[in-house]
Amino acid sequence: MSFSVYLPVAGNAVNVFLLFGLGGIVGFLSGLFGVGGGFLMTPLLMMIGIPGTIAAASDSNQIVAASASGTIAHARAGSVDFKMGGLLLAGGLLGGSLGVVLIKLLRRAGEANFVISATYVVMLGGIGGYMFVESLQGLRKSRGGGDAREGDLRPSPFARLVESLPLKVRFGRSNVTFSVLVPLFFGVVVGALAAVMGVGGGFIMVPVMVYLLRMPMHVVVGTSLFQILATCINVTILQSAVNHTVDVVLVLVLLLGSVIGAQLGARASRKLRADQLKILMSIIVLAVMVKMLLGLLLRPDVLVSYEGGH
Amino acid sequence: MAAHARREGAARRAPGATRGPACLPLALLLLLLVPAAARATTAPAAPVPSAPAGADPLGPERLEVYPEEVGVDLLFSGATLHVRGAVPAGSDAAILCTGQETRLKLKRRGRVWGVLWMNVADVVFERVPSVYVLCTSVPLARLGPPELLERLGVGFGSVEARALPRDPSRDQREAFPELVRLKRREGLFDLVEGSVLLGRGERDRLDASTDLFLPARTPPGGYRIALFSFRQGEGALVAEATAVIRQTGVAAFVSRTARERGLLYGIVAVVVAIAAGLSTGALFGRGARGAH
Repeated sequence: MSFSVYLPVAGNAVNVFLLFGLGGIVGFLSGLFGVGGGFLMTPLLMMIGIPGTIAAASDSNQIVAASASGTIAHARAGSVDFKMGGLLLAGGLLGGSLGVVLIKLLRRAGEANFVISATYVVMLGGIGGYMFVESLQGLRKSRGGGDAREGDLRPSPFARLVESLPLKVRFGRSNVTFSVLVPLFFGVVVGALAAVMGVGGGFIMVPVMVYLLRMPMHVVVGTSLFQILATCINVTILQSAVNHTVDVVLVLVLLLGSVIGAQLGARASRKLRADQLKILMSIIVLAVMVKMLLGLLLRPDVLVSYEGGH
Repeated sequence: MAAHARREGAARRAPGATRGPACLPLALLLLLLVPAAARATTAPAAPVPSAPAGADPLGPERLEVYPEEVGVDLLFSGATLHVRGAVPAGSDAAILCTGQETRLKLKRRGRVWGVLWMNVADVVFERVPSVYVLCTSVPLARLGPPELLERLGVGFGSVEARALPRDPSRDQREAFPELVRLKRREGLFDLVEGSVLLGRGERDRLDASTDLFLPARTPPGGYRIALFSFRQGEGALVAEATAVIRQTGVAAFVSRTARERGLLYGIVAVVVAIAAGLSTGALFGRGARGAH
C-alpha cells in the first residue's frame, strides 16, 4: 500500500500522513505562539525531498490557512489589535523591500551567505536567551506571590525616547499609548530582517511586541497572526505570479493538518499563563538556533546542493 | 553465472508500483476543486519506437520496454519499466536509462575559517543527464576496460567525461563525485550490478531483461533506454528504445495552471486557504460554544 501523494509542482511524491502530521504540529505552534512556523516548516519540507524554493513558497500559502484559522479564533476572543497590526504590517511591507535591496548589495559584496547565517544565529540566540531568562524570573516572581504581569514599567532611555515622539495614539486592545511611529519603525526593522533571513519574521515580531511595545501576551499572539496572514497572502500571490513555486497539492495536505492544529494551539494559548507561553517559545527559538549552529559547524553529508535551496 | 545474476537480480530492491491506492480523501477534495481536470486519463500508448540498426553482428535488434509511456498523476509514486532484449550467446549485458542532458548549476559547500560549513562556490556542469540508471549482468568492472565503457557511455566515469570540460577547474573536479552522491541519494542516478538477467533465447542468443526503477521525482520527459553487449573486452550498442514520462489528469492541470496562469493560480490558492482556515475556525468555534 502506498500512502504517498504526488506533488505536481514540486515533482516528487511524499507520504500523506507525514505531511498531515507536519502541518498539525506546526499549525499548533502557530496558534499557540502567534508565529507562522515557516522557520520550522521550510527546513522540514526540504528534509523530506521538496526543493527549497517550492517549500518556502508553498509554506507561505499554508500559513495563510493556519493564520486565518488562528486569527478568527483570537478575534472572537477579542485578542487582535487591528490598529497595531495594521501599522506593523505597513512598516513590514516597506522593510521587506528594503531587505531585498540589502541582500542584493550583500550578494554583490560576496558576503551574503555569511551575513544571513550569522544574523539568524545571533538573532535567535539573543531573542531566545532573553525570553528564557526573563520568563524564568517572571515564573519565580509569581511563585513568590508577586504578580508578574508584562508591563512592569521601568523608565529606560528607550521608554523616554518613545515618550517624546509625536503623533500619539491609544491602542485600546493592547492597553498602551504611544506614537504611531513606534510600530511603523519596528515593522520596518522586522520586515527587513525577515527578508534577509528568508522567513516570515513572526518569531522576531512576537518578542518585539512583548518587550518593546509592552503589549499583553495574548493580544500579541492574535495581532501577530493577523499580521502574518496579510504578509503571507501577499507572498503567496507574488510567488505564484513571478516564480510559479506554489504547489497547491502540497498546500492542501499541509493545511488540513495545520488549520486543526492552529485551533487547538489557540485554545492551549488561552489556558497557559503568559510566562509559561514565553518560556515554551524561548525553548523552541533556542532549539532552532542550535540546529542552525550545528548546520554551520558539522560537515554536511553531501558537499553540493542545487541552486535555489539554502 | 546466469544463476548468480538471477539471485542478485531477485535481491534487488522491490520496484514501486506505477499507481497505488492512496489518499482517497485528498484525491476527492482535489476533484471537487478542479472539476475540469477530473477527467484524468492515462495517455494512450505511443507507437512502438523502431529500434535503430545496432552495431551487433547479429543485426538490428528490438528492445521491448513496458510501459513505453508512464502517466504521472496524484497517486504516482515511481515507475518500473520492464526492459527486454537479446545479446549474443556468451556475452554480458548492460541496460542503461538516460534522461535529457542539461546545464546544471550547483553550490559547493566548503569550510570557512576552518570551522564553518557554507556555500563557497558556484559550480557549473555543461551536460548532466537528468537521470542515469544503469543495470548490468555482472559487476561493472568485469564488463570491459574503462576506456571501452567511457566510449560507449556506460558508467559514471563516462558521465563525468561528458560533464566536465577539457580543462576542468578544481571546484568542478571536487564537486562531481558529490553530484553523483546527491543524485544517487535521490534515486535519479543508480548502478544496480547483477540486475540484468540472462536467459536462453532464440538461436544463439541470450535473452537480457531487467526491471528499471524510476523514482517519483523523475522529471517528465523522454528517456533513452539502451542495451549493450560485452564479450572478451569488446562491447557494442545492441538496441535502443524510448520511454516517455508525462504528467496527466489533475497533476498535469495543476502544474500547467501554475506555469501559465500564475496570478490567477495564486489568488485561487489564497482564497482556498482562507476558506479552509475560516471554515475550520467556525467549526471549532461552534464546538467550543457547545462545550461550555
